[in-house]
Amino acid sequence: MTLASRWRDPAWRATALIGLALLLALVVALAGRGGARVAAVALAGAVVPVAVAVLIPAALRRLRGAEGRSLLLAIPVAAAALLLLVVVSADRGPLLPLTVALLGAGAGVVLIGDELRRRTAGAAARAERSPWQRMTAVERVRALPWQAAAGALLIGWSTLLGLGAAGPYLADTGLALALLVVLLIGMAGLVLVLVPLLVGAAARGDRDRLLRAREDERLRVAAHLHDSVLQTLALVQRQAGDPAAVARLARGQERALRAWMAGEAELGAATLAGALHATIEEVEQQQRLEAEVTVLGDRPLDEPGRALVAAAREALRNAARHAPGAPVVVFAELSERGAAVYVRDEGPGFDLAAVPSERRGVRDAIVGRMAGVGGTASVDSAAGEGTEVALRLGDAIGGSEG
Amino acid sequence: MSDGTAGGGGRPTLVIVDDHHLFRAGVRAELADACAVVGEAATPGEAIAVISAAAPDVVLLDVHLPDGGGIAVLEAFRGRADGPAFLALSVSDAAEDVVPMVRAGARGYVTKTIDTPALLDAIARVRDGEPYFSPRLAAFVLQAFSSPPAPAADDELDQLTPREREVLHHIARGYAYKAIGARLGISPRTVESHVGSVLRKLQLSSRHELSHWAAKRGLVDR
Repeated sequence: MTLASRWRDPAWRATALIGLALLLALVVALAGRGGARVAAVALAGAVVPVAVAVLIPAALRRLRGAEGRSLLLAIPVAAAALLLLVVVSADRGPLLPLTVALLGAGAGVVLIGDELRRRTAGAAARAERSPWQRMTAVERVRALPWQAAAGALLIGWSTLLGLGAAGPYLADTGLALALLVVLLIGMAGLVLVLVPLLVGAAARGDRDRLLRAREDERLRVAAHLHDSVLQTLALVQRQAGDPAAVARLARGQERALRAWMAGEAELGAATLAGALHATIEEVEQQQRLEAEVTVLGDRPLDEPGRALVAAAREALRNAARHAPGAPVVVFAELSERGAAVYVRDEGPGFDLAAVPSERRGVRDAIVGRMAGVGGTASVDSAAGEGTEVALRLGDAIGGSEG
Repeated sequence: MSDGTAGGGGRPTLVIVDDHHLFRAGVRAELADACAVVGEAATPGEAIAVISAAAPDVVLLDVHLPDGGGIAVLEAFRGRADGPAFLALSVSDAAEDVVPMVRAGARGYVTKTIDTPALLDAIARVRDGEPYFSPRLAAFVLQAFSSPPAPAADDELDQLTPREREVLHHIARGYAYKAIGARLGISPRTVESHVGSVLRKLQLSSRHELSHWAAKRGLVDR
């Protein structure tokens, strides 16, 4: 990252400017009292805020992750250790203590900024939710801003240290008060200006990552749509003269898209729900049937499950044959303990007793199949009332009556 | 479910809220003979203004809208006695989209692929203050109430009676109220009142599974 590009970041700009202003004030104050030597020492210290201005944003970027946050805590700890060393060993010159004070203050600002950023990010996410979600969503919010408090403490401590270090030089002049005022104003300015800017910069970084993630997702969806929906639309245009074919294509595509959106596509037919969906779709394509399908729960596809699917296929074919064009409702309740599948059509219905026994379709393909795996099948129909085939396996849920 | 419309008089007035212009135009054309479409809106903000101004009998409300979704509109009219009847419609068919809409005050839910007679039936029902449960909504609601409630939460709002469960189960299987009444040996009106009490429980219950859907949605939206 070049200096020019850093300069465009307002957080960096403010950090550098305020740091320089602070140092300049210090230099002017000390030059008035101690002459060129002290002023030179203070000027040398100007390197420090510039270094801080460069290092803190860089550290923020590098340490953005969850681990980085805890690493940030190492900064005040290291500063405090340095501070102790200096206080113990310092006998002359304000340079080292001032350096440490600035470092400590910088770390404090970072801590406050990080805390604020996390809190404002949460607030923004909350504002986007509907009132319903706000009422019901469960979230973890750290109750006490201990991190910001630690930052503030660090800044206060650094201010005291800076004053203490520069104090002996100035004790005998009226400049001490002036320096104190300059330092306090500088620190206050630092906190007031820097914190919002840091927060803003960090939030912008978050937004950029969010935008990137959205773009990736968009590309993924676009690729899928190209392979599925656009292909189907092309087919639809070719067969525009055949309304039945168009409707069938549209239904097949709709079902596939729904399965993909629900994340079922990857599951394939490894489960009973997947196999049921696939079978219904297959019959719809072959027989020009339109079914409203609701499947609750799921279970692994075992041998009885396969028989159930085969029986359901037969029931759907019967519905398509005997009630062409009538709406068909498929309702399935699946669980580890059992399965129940209801196939109901709003067709003309028929009188069961009047069906000749040689009509073996229902008997073998549905009732026989289910009995073969320990399940049951019942057909419920009356003239004018539509027909329902109920298929049950194991401890079927909701099978309160026949 | 098309065992005729009940009560009411005259053509119901309708506001269509959907962010797809083509869909609104399609519904308007389909319903032109049976209903008076008195307003359209594409966002919750527009919808609240249009509904307040036009005071329709029924609002067809899409689940997925920009700026807060259909839920935002329902929240704005929640608890207002003079509000219209809301009929939610969606292409999504996901329980976590549909159940919160009904929880927030919609009196029914239909999929966008519903045919015109069934849609008219649904509009007439909610206009008359009755709930309209499509087979799929009944299935979702059954699922939401299916697991046994926590021992502490044995509030009567938290569970369905066996009879309510039976009625919902039949709706999920595609039976009309009349047929359900005949099968269970009760009148269609009684079937209706069972559905009404399920709707009430759905909107008032504090069941974990019901809240959970909304919470999950909140997390997904982030």
